[in-house]
Amino acid sequence: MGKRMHDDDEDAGEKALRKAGQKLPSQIKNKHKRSAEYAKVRAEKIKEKKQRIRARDKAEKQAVELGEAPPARQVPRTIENTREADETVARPDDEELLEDCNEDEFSGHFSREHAPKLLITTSQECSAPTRRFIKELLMVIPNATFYKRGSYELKQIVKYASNRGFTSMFVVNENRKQPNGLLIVALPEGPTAHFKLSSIQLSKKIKGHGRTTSHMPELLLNNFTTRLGHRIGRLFGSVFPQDPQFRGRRAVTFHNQRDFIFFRHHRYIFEEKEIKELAPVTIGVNSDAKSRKGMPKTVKKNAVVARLQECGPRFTLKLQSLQSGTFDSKYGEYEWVHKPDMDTSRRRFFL
Amino acid sequence: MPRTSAVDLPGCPPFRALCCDNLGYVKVVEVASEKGVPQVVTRWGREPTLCTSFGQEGFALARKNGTVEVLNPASGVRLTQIGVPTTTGTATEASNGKREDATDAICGLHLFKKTGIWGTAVLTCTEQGVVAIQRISCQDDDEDMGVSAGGDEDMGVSTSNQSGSDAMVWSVTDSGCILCLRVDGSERYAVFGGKGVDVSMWDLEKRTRIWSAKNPRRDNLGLIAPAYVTALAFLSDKDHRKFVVGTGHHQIRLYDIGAQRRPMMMFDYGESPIKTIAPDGDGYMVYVGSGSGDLACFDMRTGQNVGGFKGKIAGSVRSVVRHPTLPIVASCGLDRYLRIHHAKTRQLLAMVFLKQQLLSVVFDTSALPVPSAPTSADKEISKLSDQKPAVKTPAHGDNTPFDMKPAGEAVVTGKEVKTEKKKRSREEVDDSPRPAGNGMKSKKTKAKIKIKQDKSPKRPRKLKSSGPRCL
Repeated sequence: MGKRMHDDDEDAGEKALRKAGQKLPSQIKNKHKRSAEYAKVRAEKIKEKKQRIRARDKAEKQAVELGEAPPARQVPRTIENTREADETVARPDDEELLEDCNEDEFSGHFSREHAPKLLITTSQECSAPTRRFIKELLMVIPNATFYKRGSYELKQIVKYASNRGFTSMFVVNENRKQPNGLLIVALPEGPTAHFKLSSIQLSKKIKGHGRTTSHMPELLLNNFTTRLGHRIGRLFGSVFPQDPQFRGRRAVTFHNQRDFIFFRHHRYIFEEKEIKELAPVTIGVNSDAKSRKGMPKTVKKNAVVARLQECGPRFTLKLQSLQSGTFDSKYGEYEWVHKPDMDTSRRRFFL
Repeated sequence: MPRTSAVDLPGCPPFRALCCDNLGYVKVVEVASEKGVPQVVTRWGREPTLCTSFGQEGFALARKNGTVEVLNPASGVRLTQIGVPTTTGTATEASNGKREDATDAICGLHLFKKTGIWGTAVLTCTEQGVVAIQRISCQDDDEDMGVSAGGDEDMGVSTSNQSGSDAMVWSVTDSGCILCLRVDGSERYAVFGGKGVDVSMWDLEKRTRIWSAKNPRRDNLGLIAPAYVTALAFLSDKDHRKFVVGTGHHQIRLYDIGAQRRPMMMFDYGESPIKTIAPDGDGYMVYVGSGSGDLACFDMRTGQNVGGFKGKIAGSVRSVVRHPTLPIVASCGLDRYLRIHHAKTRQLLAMVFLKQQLLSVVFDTSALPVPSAPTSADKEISKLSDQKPAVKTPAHGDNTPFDMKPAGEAVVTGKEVKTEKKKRSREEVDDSPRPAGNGMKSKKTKAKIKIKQDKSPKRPRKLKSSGPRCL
């Protein structure tokens, strides 16, 4: 498609140009002039957008004043809100889900029978970037211990860890001296989840990052909607202690979006701040425009606002497989494993 | 609008299936109309379950607490319940009882046919290899059933919780861990296998081992893989001699006990352990499910992979079963879906999300209308066994065909009788049910002859380089 097929697709700037009998910017051969033209077109567009928003706000305000329902705002169509219908989405009122949760491997943790204890290790002969990453993980996750991998097999380490009362195990894998995989094993019965690990940013790289305190963090699990997602969420939940210290104002987030799980670590604060607010309208006193003429449009008010400071690290996980039982690459069976024929639609998500 | 590539599934013919999950629920899935969508009709019970078996008598479930329950497949009413012996009672067994590799959990279950030689009985096997055959008393009056079917949730109709003092109990192994058991169509023989236990066939009446497998020869690296049998299936209901074995080393093996102790054919499938094997009715096709969610169909005459079953199977396939009359295959597993495929085209017909990790699926054949011509092997066998009980007592009363004979000797016995049987025409041998008065010897001979006859096309050809390995 070389030229535009429909006139409706053309934006207002181009239309205006065409009306005026001028050349389209793309037809200008001089680069400087062309970019100057483009800048104009862009400015025009921004202006128009501002006008549109102003008009919409005005209409909304009018509707509110008249006591009517404001015109419905348009909702942008995103990949997530047009995702394929999924029957596996877990519903909170599902009694079978509840029963399964009461009997699964994490039920002991969520009923506070035992406190979580984490063992972190690496693939054999890990490099400095992996060590730095693990150092930060140790700061984020309470009650975690790093063990050198040595030349032990994973199955041996799993056995060792479950004998010593560890409840979960992380194995950070690396490729070309960069961490690229994370294996989470729930002990002693499993399951084992294998994630692709990417976009690691250590706290040093994060602008204005805070220092981690030793308080127990709060845990946020966002968007784990399906049955599989629910299980993965419980797996993450079983790594962190159940009793956050709200004094510490630390929050660890696992945010799932399109099957990518974003890990973030923040400190939050609620502060009192002076903000401006529209003056209240009281019917009979200042409801008509005349009586409001002399009055100030806004009033100052003390409000509580939340502020965030990121502590780091940041990283992104993508689930590759979920194995039932502890790590066993040879004889283990999978609860879920990613297969190429699942990728036939970009609007299909599994978590 | 976003383009969606979703294609509506074509739907499947009417059937009724029972699906058992890890919580212990039994979900009844039904398709009402032609090209319909399967739907969960009811849900029964809630007690952690290990394995299941479907028979004429009902739907038997082995519970985690060491009991076996038999449910009425139509209404879900518990017909009977029985405790399973976990030790053989002798002193040596008691000391063996504390094994680290195996527990007392029930790993195999078979519900005998009412009309078979055992009457109403169940065969159970624990991981430690304690096998028990126990008679059970089910209410088999139809009127009684009709009354109790009214109260669906009334589960305590007749609870005879006897611990099985009259049980036949013996041990099939003293090491390793039994993982699976299968009983052949005539219900006289059973094969056992497990981790560290190679396959062995046992005569259930004599309680003796009549055949045991030999490990395959060393591979090109000079290594022997330890025995790890994870799935078993008899190729045909009429023939107890040929069975297929799936191993944890992702191998599929075909054994013929009449021929040799090593596998007749052996080939690899995928890279994860074979979890389940189910025979097709035709006597040479098998459906194989693996631990990483692969499901395929194999021709055991050639060892060729006929084709895989598509349908985004995400988790381990724990159970696959072929419908006795309709051309459909049901499979279920850890990805919580029940899938229905077409047996011949291997097209996905329907899938149902059943919310829990599923252990097993069976087709409820009790409500099937009796077909005019017995097309399936199942019906043949039931006809066979109908005639059997009258003769069974003298048959194995006077002649003692097998007591721990090696396989070679058994073949010789077969040859002796073969000469007199040679006169029988091929047709006679092939179709008609066995005439009354035949002992086990002659039955064995017949099977032998039959194998001779159909061996020529079926015998796996030796392939030279790639493909299945013949031993």
